[in-house]
Amino acid sequence: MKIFSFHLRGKMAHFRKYYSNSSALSYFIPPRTTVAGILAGLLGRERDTYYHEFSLEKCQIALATRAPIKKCMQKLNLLMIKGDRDFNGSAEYPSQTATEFIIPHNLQKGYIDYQIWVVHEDDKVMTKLENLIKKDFVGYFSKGISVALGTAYNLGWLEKGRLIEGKEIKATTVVNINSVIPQKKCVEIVVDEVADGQYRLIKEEVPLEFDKDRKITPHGLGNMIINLTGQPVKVNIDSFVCLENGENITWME
Amino acid sequence: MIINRNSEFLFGFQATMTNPNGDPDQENKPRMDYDTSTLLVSDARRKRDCRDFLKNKGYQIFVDTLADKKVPMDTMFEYVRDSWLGDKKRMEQLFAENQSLKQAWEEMLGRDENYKEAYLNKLEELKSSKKTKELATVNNLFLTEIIKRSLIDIRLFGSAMAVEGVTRTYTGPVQISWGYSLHPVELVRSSTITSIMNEDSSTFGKKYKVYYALVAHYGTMNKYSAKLTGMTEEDRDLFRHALVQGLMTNQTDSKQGQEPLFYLEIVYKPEYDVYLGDLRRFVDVKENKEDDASREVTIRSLNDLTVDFHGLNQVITDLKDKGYIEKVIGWIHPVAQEGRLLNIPAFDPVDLWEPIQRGE
Repeated sequence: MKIFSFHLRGKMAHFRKYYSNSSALSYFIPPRTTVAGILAGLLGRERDTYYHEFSLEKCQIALATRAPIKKCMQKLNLLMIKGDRDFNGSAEYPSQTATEFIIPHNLQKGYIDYQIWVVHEDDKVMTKLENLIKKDFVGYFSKGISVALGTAYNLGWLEKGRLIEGKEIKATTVVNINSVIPQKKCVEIVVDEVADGQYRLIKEEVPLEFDKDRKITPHGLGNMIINLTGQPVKVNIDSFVCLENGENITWME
Repeated sequence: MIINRNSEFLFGFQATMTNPNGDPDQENKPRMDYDTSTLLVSDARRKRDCRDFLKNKGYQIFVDTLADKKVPMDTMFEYVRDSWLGDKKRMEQLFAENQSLKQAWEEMLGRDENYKEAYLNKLEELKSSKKTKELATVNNLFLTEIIKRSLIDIRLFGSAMAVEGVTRTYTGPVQISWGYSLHPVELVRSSTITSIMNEDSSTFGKKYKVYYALVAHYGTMNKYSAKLTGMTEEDRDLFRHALVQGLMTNQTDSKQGQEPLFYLEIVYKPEYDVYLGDLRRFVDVKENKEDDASREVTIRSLNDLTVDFHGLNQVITDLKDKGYIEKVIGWIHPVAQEGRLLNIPAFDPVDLWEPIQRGE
């Protein structure tokens, strides 16, 4: 199958956990819904109109962290909104909200780097994406948004778009997986020969799919295994996609 | 005219013995990533400077007070609404420019040219029968339109709006990333100050500052978002001035010692939807170690740094060859011209120190 691969990069990111309340926590990776939002925004789709177009059925997305990342906490003065009257700061005190940011290990020299793979059932979408994120261009094109990593002010960019060939393999195998791995596909993490500093594994439950009212669908949440160092993880897994360059990825589903 | 070109900008400023952006949860210490000694400055800090500056110049802004009193959003809306309703000429122009509003208005409120009376009477009538929802379509079109036209900060930075029957979120066409220092930064070691309350008592407090930081923000201006908030070319020009002058006019105790150094903006041709992304990645900053490579450099001024725009110069040349760029505009602070900023891309100078026109 033809897969479109590209990189999402930037200096700072904030992917709000949907269940955070008084502190604004962030996922380490853009959830599948965020990636769908970036793609839809790039294509010029209007806010809240594209959830069906990028549903789990129509579009497959995989993602890998390609550079080491960490979190950093900053308190922000935000407005506490409990009703119509609270939008303009007329409340006596703003709400000081602890906000978690994702930043590169080396903030001055480094960048956050996610590699993303997409397959969309509509060939037109694939062709358009190919035209927006080009192979030999340091930036990107957009019919709508300026690309941001989560929150609008965490500006980033897209580059290195290209079509590659991939083969879906459905058999329980021990392989190195380069992308984040859905827990339900993973039989076992193989840790017989781990090099020093190779793994910093975490598990996060991330949103995968919304319905038209922004409600999470029955299959719309999934546990993902993420290696924060950006290195591949050796696992025993029941299905994956083998790419033409020898790397293996798993769809977020 | 609403902007029809994308652009990207790079704004650099220096901070000497000052606190560019305190973290309220850390005794107002400068925001830092302590692992790499990198100073951070939020986007909201820059926007606040712009808002304060524009307000002082007589522009009406949304995140603001009315007659120095903080007011709820609906009071602010009523104020803006009434000032429009009472101005027949402006209303007529509004209708001329927005046919769908005119249609919705006439369906609901008729052709009465005494707009204020027609609107307020209808509102009263619906209120008493608790049917104010019927006014939602008109309200939606009318209020969002006049709010956008009246309040410059919504046109630039967007907002979440909620009034009766209107709930909309506008993403601002102007987005500013968090700034960070392009080199390691040191906090001033002693931060204790004494305040004398009266002759008999005094108190010790803390005031945190950094010795020196060269901070850069990257930002974008988006023509598609501009259509939704109504950001005009004039707004863009005001924003550029407000960014530079707002930083200078913010002279509270903790902010003294901040100076804008450079502003560079790549303006793309209207037919191209292109962005480079974070421009700071094309700027190389080195510490001047002079002769002795082993000497630990303590960065205390721009003289201890070399800022090389070579990379940026190259990508701009490349994009110009491809025909994407309409122009590059820029402004450099006179103090920064002494050879510390190398290979700055060629730009059309704009005078961002020039006083701006006062708002109404």
